[in-house]
Amino acid sequence: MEQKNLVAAGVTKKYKNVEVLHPTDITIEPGKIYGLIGRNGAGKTTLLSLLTGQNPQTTGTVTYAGQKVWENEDALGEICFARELNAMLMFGPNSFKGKHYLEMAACYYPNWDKAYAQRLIADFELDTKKKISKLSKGMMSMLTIVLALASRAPITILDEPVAGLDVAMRDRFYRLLLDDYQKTGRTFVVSTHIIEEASSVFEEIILLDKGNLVEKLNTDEYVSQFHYISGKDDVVDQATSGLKVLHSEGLGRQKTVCVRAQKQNVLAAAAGLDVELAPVPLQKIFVYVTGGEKEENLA
Amino acid sequence: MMRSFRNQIRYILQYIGIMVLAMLVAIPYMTIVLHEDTEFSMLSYQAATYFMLLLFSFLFICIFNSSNLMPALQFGATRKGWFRAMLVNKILFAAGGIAAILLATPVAQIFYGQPVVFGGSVFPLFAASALFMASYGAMLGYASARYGAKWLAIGTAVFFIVLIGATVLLLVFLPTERLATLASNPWLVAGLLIACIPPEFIGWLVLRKIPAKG
Amino acid sequence: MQAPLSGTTSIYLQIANLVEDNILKDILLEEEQAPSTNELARLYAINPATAAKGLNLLADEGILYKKRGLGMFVAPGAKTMVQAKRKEAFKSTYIQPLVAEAKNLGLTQQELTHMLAEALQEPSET
Repeated sequence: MEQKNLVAAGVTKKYKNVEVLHPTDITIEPGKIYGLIGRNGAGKTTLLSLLTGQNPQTTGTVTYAGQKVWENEDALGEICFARELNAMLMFGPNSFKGKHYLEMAACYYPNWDKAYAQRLIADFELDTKKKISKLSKGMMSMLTIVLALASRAPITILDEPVAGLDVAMRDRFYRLLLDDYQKTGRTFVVSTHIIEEASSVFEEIILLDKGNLVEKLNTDEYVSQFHYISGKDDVVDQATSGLKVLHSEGLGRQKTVCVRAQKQNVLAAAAGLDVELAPVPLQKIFVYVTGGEKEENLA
Repeated sequence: MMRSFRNQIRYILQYIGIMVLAMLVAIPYMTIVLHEDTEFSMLSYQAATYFMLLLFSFLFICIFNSSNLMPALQFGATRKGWFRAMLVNKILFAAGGIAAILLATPVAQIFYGQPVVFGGSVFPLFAASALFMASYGAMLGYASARYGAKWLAIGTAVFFIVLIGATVLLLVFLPTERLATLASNPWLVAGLLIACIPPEFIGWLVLRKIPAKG
Repeated sequence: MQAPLSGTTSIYLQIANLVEDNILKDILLEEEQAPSTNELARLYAINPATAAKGLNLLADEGILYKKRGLGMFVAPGAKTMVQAKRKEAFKSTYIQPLVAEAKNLGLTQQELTHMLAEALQEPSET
């Protein structure tokens, strides 16, 4: 069976003269759940809209199974991009009712599963007779989740699907996602700000920072490259002298640093020293790598 | 709340702007035809009114469409596909416009006791057209939301038949010499021709590269 | 000395540990079917690939074995294998931290061995 990859080659996006996405190569392989993480304005939505042919790239190409995605009905029918819903459209409030929104979607996705959509609506207790502009943020998210899951598109992309959802709903969403993934083996790309609880769901993570693709790697492999080393400050400094330190914090003489290195290198560096090693959670890695701590220092 | 209010204002201003633009185009044309000889002026006036209504409605439909367009593009509709759907809308509207003129005849007869479409008040024509447009807009919105462009195309086929039927009826009811004068008025013909082209053309130029927004 | 804020290890290792625990406590018996990738993924809301990685780790160590078309089963002698493996790691995971803390508290070797003997006398909590 041929593998239908979604491939972006050297894509960039400029708005006026500002390049919001620098040259990026990325391949979305079928049968995986990807997590797209990046800070606000990192270019997540831009990248996703280029991948899905909803926004023309400034340079580069986007292909699906070797065919151009832009204006290609066959490719577009297999790719679902569930965007964040807004209460406002270009010409005023979003006055579509939820059910019309979904019925419209059903026209465009050849694999649309109506029964599944209805099950999800009932499950979420979603009132689809309400206008979108009258829905709460959480309800809008639920509507996009229904759209994404029921599209049954081989490649399904969700932009901030858990925004405004409470912790129980978020857990429910990831379970639904995994459930459907196990049944169908579809590809999912999920962008989110709430990283920690999602990291166990993502097989690979895609990290964007300031319009650059920083990392695209198996989640476990990525996380295992980071280590906390803690102990007395001079001992910790001694242990980390040859290592790349991403972050450092401490109280008095106590010091904890985060380093990026292979495990055996860290073990070798710490050998014989009175320091403790511990893994770093993905959320923290994200903060250190994307430089979010600058603000902390200012505060 | 403030943001929503400001958006409302922007929306209204945009709408008014488009209306003013449409009138600026329509008024010179109306002045020209109104200065024709008196016997013919009423017909020209009505034609001009119809033209103006067409223009209004096209622009209105353009706005209407673009609010539909965003979700459609988000669902993987192609811009080409949407252009086709817009063209379909156009044909639907032309058919409806002619139907409205024909409908105005009996309506006017009820109100005025005489046929007024060709030689009487413009009001019934206006009212009928407005009525038509309201129902048309509602129908179009519902159809495109519910069934998407495929069913709109089927709808077009049906309306196309109505359009041909209406044209035939128009030709039958309109005296030959008036038809000849109508055709010999270059402004009227040119106006009607122009009315048949621009919004979709401009729409297409804009739509070609437009990004879908959330 | 304060440990860093989070103590989470890789999820696939936790999955492997969990299955090992179940084997040690006789919740999972030898020649019995181990939980499937999908069951684990559903139960813990984790990516099936991660769950599979954990199970494959145990399969590589010979604690589980694959029956084609049926899934993973607990290998004969798995419990002894897990015990041997854990015994090996017992010093570094339990004894060394224990000794480190004892030193911090200034406990003598005598006091420590006495406490150990005492703890061994007490009925087990479970």
